[in-house]
Formats: sequence, structure tokens, C-alpha cells
Amino acid sequence: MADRPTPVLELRDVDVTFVKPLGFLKPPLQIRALQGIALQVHPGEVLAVVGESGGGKTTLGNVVTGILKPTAGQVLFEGRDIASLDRKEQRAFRRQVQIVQQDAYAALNPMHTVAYSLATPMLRLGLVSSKAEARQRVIQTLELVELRPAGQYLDKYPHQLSGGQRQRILLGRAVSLAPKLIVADEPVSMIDVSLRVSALNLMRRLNRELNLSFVYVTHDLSTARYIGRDGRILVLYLGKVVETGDLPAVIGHPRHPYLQALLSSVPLPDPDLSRHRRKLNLKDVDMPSLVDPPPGCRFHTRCPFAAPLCRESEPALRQVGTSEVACHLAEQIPAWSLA
Amino acid sequence: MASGVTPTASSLVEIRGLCVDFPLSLGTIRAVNGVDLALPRGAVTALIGESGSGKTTVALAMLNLVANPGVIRSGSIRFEGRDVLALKGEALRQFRWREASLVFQAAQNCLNPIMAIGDQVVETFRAHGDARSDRELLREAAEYLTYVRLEPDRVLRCYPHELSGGMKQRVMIVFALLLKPKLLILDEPTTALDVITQDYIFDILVRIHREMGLTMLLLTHDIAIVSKVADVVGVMYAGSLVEVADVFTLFRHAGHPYTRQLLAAAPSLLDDPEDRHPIVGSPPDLLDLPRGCAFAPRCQHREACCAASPPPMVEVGQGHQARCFQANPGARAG
Repeated sequence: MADRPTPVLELRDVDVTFVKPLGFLKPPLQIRALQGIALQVHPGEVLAVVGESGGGKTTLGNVVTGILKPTAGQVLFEGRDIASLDRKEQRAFRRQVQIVQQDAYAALNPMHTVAYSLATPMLRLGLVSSKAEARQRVIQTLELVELRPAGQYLDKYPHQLSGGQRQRILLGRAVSLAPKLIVADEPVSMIDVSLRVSALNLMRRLNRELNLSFVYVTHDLSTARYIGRDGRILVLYLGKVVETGDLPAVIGHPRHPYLQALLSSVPLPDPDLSRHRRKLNLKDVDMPSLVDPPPGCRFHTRCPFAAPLCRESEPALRQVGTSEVACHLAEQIPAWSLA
Repeated sequence: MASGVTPTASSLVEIRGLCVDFPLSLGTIRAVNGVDLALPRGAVTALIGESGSGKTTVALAMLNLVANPGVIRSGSIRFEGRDVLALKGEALRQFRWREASLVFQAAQNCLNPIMAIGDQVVETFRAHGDARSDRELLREAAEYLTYVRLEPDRVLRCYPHELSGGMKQRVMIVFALLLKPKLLILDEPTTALDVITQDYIFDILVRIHREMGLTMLLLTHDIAIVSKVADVVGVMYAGSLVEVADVFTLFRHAGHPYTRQLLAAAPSLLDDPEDRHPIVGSPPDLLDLPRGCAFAPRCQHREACCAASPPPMVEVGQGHQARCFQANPGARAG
């Protein structure tokens, strides 16, 4: 990777620990939400971050956007540690990393029109010099996110729009600030299935046309596969990376039993396949608590392949084939297939 | 395979010409528009549709539970031949849950947060006139809890906040089964749950269905879930049932353009990502429905006749109907 340009975003050995005081005499509760996360996102790249709730996906999104300071490790934006930025550089960083939230209804102020919600950040950050110019840019933005004719949307309030349209407004608001990276946290989970593909297509288009990098956070492997078909994937389990690599390779040949279990639980739109597919029988359906994660490999309490070694030592992320996997038994585990 | 529309001796529920209106200040919304549907006894029927397509309203009407300002304008609902809409007072109260029970969307929020699960079990039985001792009632609940693979001793003593989302959902399924209903209605039973938990809950539901012979109605917007669980599928669009078929026929030979486009729109692990196509346009405004086919403005195959009058339900094959002029050219004359 030496010949590649500086990544837009790099995480080096990031830990996030939440500390909850339990009282005067008791030691505080430590919740290690993320542990030893390393990742890179290159210009124009899509990185899908997947896992179940409690895996640390949202915490990771918050670290990437600078909302949450890591307890340990570094977050580098274009090669510079964001903890070392001065106020002015902070502002520039905030503009260049934008968020698209899951609940577009909650993310838009219900009292403001679309035009107001889109123009204010541009004016505040000095990207436009006058209200007239801002309005012009808002119209261009609405057209960019395929809300046409734009004039029809300017004076609407969030409640007058459909879920899919609101999500486009959010995406437009993020893109209008000319960011280099967008963190999209479950952006389509609240949109109807019939409109999901068009929202994903829009993100792909922006990704290609503007060379915009995306961190796509989701629990939905089907949409991750759709948007990240030429990107990368990072699978989180209880705050640790269990598998990462090029998305098509990782999804096509998952090596970590957790990813295999996730993939075999994704419903398939085929009545024959979905009734007769091979199942990976987990020992426990429920995820253990982050407060007291299992020793050794964190997945061993649910893993059908777990060996004594897995209870004793924690597997490190290592190269297996084309991807990196944190599993002692990666080579022995039977290959997984859809059916 | 029993037909989903034509009532037969084997159907548990028969809905005829159901119309449900919501009179609002802006105008009247017809949330359910002339739905004919029969639920075959012992089968899993799924209603699939986007938000606002009317599937939940159909289910609520089945329990005569349409909330104000909604009114059932016309139509009939027969449960084993009895007129559900004529049930009043205590008879209606006992019909709900004893004959047909409903697992709501985000059912986790249906549990009382300040009562232990065990106490809620006893309360449910008592409200439906069961005079057995608490111990007996709890023992019966424990059987069901074991069935959905929960530890009864622990769970019965727990308060809802002590259980995970997936556990609460399984507890809700137990509640729905407690009074041994003949019909179990599941409204998006796994939204907000993780994939592994979702898959597990559907495995349990499939087993319950197989072993108890329960009739089930599943409401969902996820076409992939339907393929795993359902025997018969009804597709709803803008308050109308637009297609009914057995699950295999629906996935292989969908007759209605909306169904076909829905199948081509949902991303899945199976498809070629380059091959997914969104359904153009947006769902219709229920206050301003087109005069003809409600799907016509988004349909790739629309013709002049589609805008003129609503298409009739056409028999496409055995137990397979589609509400489309194109589904059977012979129907176009009308």
C-alpha cells in the first residue's frame, strides 16, 4: 500500500472505553466499546462497517466524525491527527467529514423549511457570501440529490416529505458542504424497500462523481454488499474487528464464523433456497454483554467451532487469503456458501 | 394450495369487500379499498406492502380494532363463519386474544415496564376468565417459554428492562400463544431486531406453525422474509390487494408489475448488484389516488386503459390472481 495516496481517514489502534461510576466505594464500571481498531479509508473509497447492535458500529462512526474522542489511539484525517488540530483546522475538519443519520425525520428541524435547513450551514461556514447565492446553491444541491424540480421542495417542511425524500435532503445537506468523507449510519433502514435501491444508487453516484469517500455503517449485509460492491468491509463484534478486506471477497468467502453466521441469517428472496439453506447453529443466539466480555476469543461462547485454544487466547487479526481475519481456526473452518 | 381470495371450507377467516376510511380534515383517506382475502386454515399467509399500503389496517379490522377516526365503511369479516364486525362488548373482548391474537410491531414496548413477566402472565389469564391457581398458570407459561428457548425460571421473574430485544419479542410471542388462539397475526414482528435474532425468531415461528397447526397472518415489507415463512402471499398497494399467489408462484411468475418491480428492487445477497432497479416515482398520495390503477403512474407497462378505470382482479392461474389489465388481456374489454 506504500504507493497509495494518503488515506482520507486513518484509525490507528483506537480504543474507546466508557466509564460508569458505580458509587463511592465500588470500582467504576468499564465498558470497552471499541478495542484496537485500525482502518484506512482512501479517497473515493466506500468502507462498509457491519455488525449487530452492541458491536460498536455507531461508536466507530462517532469517533470518525470527531464527536467522540478515543480513549487511546489516533484518528488521522488526511494524515494529521485530529487531536492536534487548532480551532480553525477543527472547523475545516468538521466541514470535510459529514454525517447522514438514520432517522431523517429527527435530523431535520421540523420548524424549518428545506431551503433554510440547507442554506444555514453553508452561510454559517462561509461557503457562500449572500442569501441569494445560498439559495442558488440549495437549488443545485436539490438537483444533485435528484429532487427535481428543486423549486417544489424549497419551501416544504420535513413533515410534507416522504421518508425517501427526507433522506435525500440529509444527503444533500451533507454534500453541499463539499466534504471529503461522509459517515452514513444506517441511512436506508427507515426507507421503504422499493425506494432503498434508488437512495443507494444516489450515494454510489455521489461517491463516483465527486470522488467522495463513504463510511457506510449498517447491520444489513444486503445493502452493504450493494453499495460497497467495489469497496471494503469491516466486520465488528463486541468492539473488535473480526474480519476485514475487499467487500466482494469477504462476502463471497467469509472466513470468520461470526460473519458466516451473520450471512446465513440474512433472508434470501427465494422460497426454495430460504427453506433449505444450510444453517450455522450458534450455541447462543444472544450477544454476551460488553461489560464482561468472554475471555479469549470474544465469539467462543456462540461459536460452533470453538476449541479449547479459543477460550484461552485472544486471536489477533491476521492475513488469511485475501482478507484479514481474527480467528485461530480460520484455515480449518469449512468454507461457507449461500445455499 | 388453497386460494387466497376464493373462500373455501378450509378458510379460517374470510374478508369480503373490506373498505376502511380515515376521515381527516384534508379529506378522506381510504386506507383499505375493497379487499377480498381468505386465510386458509393452518397456513401462513403474508401480506406484503410498503408503509401506508393498508396491511396493518386490514389486520386491525380483522379484530374489529380500527382506531378512531378510522371507520370500517363496508365489507364483511367472517371468522369460522361468525361475523366479527357484529361482535359487541364482552364477546368481542373474548374474541380478541382467545380466537385471534396480535403481536404488534415493536412489541417490546407492549410489556408493562413495572410488572414482572410472571405477573403479566397471570393477569392475562385472569382477564380472560381463567380461575386456575397462579402456579398452574405459570407452569403453562413456562412450557411456552421453553418452547421459544427461554429459561422460564429466570424470565418469569424478570422485569422487561432485564431482557434483550430478542428475548422480549419471544416473550410477546408466548403471550400471544397463551390463550391458544386459532389465528396469530404478526405485524412486522422482527423490526428493530438484529439479523441473527430475526432469523431465530422466524425459525421458532415456523416450528410453532408446523407443530401447533396455527393459522398465521404475517405483515411485512420485507419480501425476503416472506419467502422463508409464507405459504400464501398477498401484495398490497395503496389500500388494494393487487396480487395473491402461493409463495413459489409469486417469486417465479409474479403477475402484477408492482410485484415484479418489488422483487427486482430489493437488494439481496443473491442478486447481481448491477441488476437491481428501483421502482420509479413515489408511493401514491392516498388523498389523491389516480382514477384508474393506483400503480399506473409508476408502471412501466401502462396503457391508455390503465388510467381510465381501476383494473379488476383477474384469475391468472390456480389460486393466483392479479389486479392488472395486462395480467390477462381478455379482461381488457371491460
